[in-house]
Amino acid sequence: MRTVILAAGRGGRLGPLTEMRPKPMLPVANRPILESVVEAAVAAGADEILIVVGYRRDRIQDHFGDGDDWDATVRYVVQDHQLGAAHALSLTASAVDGPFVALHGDRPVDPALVERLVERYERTERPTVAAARSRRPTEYGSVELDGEAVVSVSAEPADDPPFLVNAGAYVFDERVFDAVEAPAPDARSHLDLGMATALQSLADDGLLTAVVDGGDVRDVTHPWDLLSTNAARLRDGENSVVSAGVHGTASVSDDAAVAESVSVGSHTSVLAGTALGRNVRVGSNVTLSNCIVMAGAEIGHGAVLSDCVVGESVSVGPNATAEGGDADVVVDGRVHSDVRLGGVLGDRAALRGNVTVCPGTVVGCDVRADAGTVLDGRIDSRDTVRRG
Amino acid sequence: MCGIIGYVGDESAQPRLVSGLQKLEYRGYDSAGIALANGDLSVTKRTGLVGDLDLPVSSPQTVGIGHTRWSTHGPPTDANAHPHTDCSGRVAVVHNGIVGNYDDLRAELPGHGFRSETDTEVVAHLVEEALADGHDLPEAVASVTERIEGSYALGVVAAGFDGIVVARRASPLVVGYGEGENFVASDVTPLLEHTRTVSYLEDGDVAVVTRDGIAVEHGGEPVERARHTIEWDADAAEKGGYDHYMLKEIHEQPQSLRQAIAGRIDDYDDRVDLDLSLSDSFLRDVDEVQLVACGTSYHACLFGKQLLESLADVRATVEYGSEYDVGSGRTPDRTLVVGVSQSGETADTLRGLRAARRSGIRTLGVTNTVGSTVARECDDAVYIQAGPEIGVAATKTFGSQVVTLALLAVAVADARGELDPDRGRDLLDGLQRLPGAVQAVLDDEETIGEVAEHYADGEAFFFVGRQFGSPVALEGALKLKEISYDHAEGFPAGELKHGPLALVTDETPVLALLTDGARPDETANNVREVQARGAPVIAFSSAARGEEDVAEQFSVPDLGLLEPLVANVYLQLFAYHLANSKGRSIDRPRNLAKSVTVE
Repeated sequence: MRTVILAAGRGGRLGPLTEMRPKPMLPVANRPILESVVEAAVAAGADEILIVVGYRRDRIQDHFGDGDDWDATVRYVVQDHQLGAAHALSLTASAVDGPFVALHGDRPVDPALVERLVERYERTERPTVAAARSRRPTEYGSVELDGEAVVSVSAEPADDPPFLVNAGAYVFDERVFDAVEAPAPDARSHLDLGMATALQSLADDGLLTAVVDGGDVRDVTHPWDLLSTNAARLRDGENSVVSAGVHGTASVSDDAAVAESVSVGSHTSVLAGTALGRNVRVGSNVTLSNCIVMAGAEIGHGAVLSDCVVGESVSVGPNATAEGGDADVVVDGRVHSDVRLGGVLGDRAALRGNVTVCPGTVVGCDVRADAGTVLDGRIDSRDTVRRG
Repeated sequence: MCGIIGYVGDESAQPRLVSGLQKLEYRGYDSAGIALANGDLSVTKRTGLVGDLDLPVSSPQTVGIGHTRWSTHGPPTDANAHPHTDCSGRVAVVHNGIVGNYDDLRAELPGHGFRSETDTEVVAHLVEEALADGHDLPEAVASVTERIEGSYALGVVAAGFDGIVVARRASPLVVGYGEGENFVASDVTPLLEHTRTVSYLEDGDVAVVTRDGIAVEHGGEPVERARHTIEWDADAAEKGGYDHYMLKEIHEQPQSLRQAIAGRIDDYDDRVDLDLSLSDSFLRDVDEVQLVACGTSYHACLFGKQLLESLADVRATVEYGSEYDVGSGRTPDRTLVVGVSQSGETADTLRGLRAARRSGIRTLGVTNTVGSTVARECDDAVYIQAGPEIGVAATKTFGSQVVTLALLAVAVADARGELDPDRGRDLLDGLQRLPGAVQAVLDDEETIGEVAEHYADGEAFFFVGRQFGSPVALEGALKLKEISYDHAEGFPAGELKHGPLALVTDETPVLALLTDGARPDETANNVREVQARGAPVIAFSSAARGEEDVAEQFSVPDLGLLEPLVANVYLQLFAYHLANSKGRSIDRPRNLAKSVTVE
């Protein structure tokens, strides 16, 4: 079945990590989230995939090209202004014909669930949404069921946890295009209510059914979600470790991943939960624990980093330290207490030797920090941190 | 410069020839045609693209040849389009190359009616004569190849013969093996949708391609040519959401630059492994490295020359392939000639390499195309690993060529015992950080795009830089003229005042490279010279440097002497967006072709 993947949004609460790439292109276990969505779609039988792209779309197109590496035909529809998932979906109206699978590009999905949705559609010939139980509200709202039928869809759950939430996978047909209306862009809120509204409209017409899935729903909304999702994937999955550039005295945990063309110096420890992207260079006597290190980053000799997201082409000087652990982090004026985050280093940030990163620090893109400085709180992109 | 395709099998030949020709259009696209054989011969041809051919809806014929042309002899007209036929209309010929002695041959064919101004038509009439003498088609073509001088890849069909006879000398030709069908083409791109098993024909080969097999002869004796399996994907060349191949390929550079260094740098020991078969003792004794190339590859060589001289302590010179000659005062066994060609089929570069080999000079090919003529004829080859490039204006392969030449400079320096550890480490460090720095430029595409559109109406564009900025200035100007058709010139910045400054007015934007590796302080003086004449200056400088009073300024991430190579990506985007704002045919600029296989 034809598959539409919505991947036009930015993911604003991930701060500097989505300044240069859209959220679906953030790496989990060294692969963009969107890649696992595409693979699930292919595994569930998609032959043609239509990706709605918008924000920083070149990153998605450069990665997937025409889809040949995934044994699928990938085409693109451009959403010029990020007006939400429902508007993105409406743009595909002229490109799809008959029933189609719709997925969110930032939400990994199990191929078996997609197959169940397709079976349900084929049996009932009605639009179908995947639902899952969650202890937290999620980005796509919660659903209320009566048997297989969806009664209501709302942005915020009304009852106590665990809630039944929208798991972000659907089978639609052309009827959905009557239900979606482009909502006015709401600059104050990250909530995208358009899809919930569209689903509610289908439910009101008695058309929407749901397939309840037993799996976890894990939103990647904040940087610490990315770290925990990455660690969980590394713990559960078969990890790819390219050991050609790893020095004989270095050690790499079974729950870590090392991409191609990575070099790791002598006596370095790559501990559980750590993923090193392409062309990452790690010096000697380094310790990396529960870190995502993106392509082209360099970690100097003797550095110790825990619970960090290190962006592309970041340079971390020798003996720099991010001790990691729990911290209080402010995102959009809201305090998140005791989240596990050693620090976020935006793309191309350059930290010289002996820099200390306090837990919960968010360093913007292209920040420069002099040797020996102490970084704390939030440092805006392109700032320079000087000593004294 | 042309593309050839041929099909023999059980299916209708026409749609296979048309889709094959479309994939070959990057080799030339001013006219096209196909000839279908078995039974009667029918020929359809005209000026324009393959899609413009006036073909029947369907055709039962299962044998045919097709051609897409880029004019060398005679202007692009319907009559000059291939295939060419004999007087009887029973023989059709497609040809890539030049029949050097066609005047003489034509004089030997009195009584034949010639309909075109091409060198190729003579081949059709020669085959006609040989058939009239009682030869069959394979014998006829073999006898004709003995009479023609010059270069050719020929495909010949004739009414009543269920196959294609092909021949090669100094123009590329590849045969593909299918199930109950076989193919022939100028390169593998059109074959990949049908088969991945191919053989490259060699100079002097004549092959008969039929439904059931491909029989190759060389000098009248049957020979076997090695079969290769092609790994890369033809589809990787499709546009992937971009409007043009060129923009897609500009964006592929972080990836292609990573590929260029992948597995070649040992970070722990700061060494380079290019898997060269040239011995260390030979490299130690070399007095001079001559780099031979054309166009964009020539500019990459100008960059590489400076790296070779400064790192490896060896004299390095750069020569145009079309101008190369083994000069006096050189000892062949102490000279290395490095031929650089993206396609590996550039006739001018091949000509230079062959001249070197004739003098006993050892040759090293640097190319993007495995199995290409450059790769096969040189003593050794290094691949730039950039993946297929379809846009006629070379972009990603320039960076990959420079990176590969930089790795070569380190390897040669090491072999000669001349490698300065600090400078080697700095260069290798820069090469590894290059993909990230290029990504930073791509992330700033919107800004350079706006600047390009703002200055699109300039009367002329001048690009200036010094040291490593000088080849990048030349390359930046070449990109702009190739795709926007604007007057653009690149100069070493110091040369401006020795003449070109007379052209500078307030209507001529000057793009200046003021990065590390481009001697920015000296170039800044030249920038003031052009500003005094009112020219708007678009400056590309190191992050640490701020230019004062320039019209537009872009910063390049810190990368030492490789910074001009990063700035080059800005120049590529400038050329693309300027040309696109004028509605130019970006991937197929007028008068140009991707792989220039004529001298």
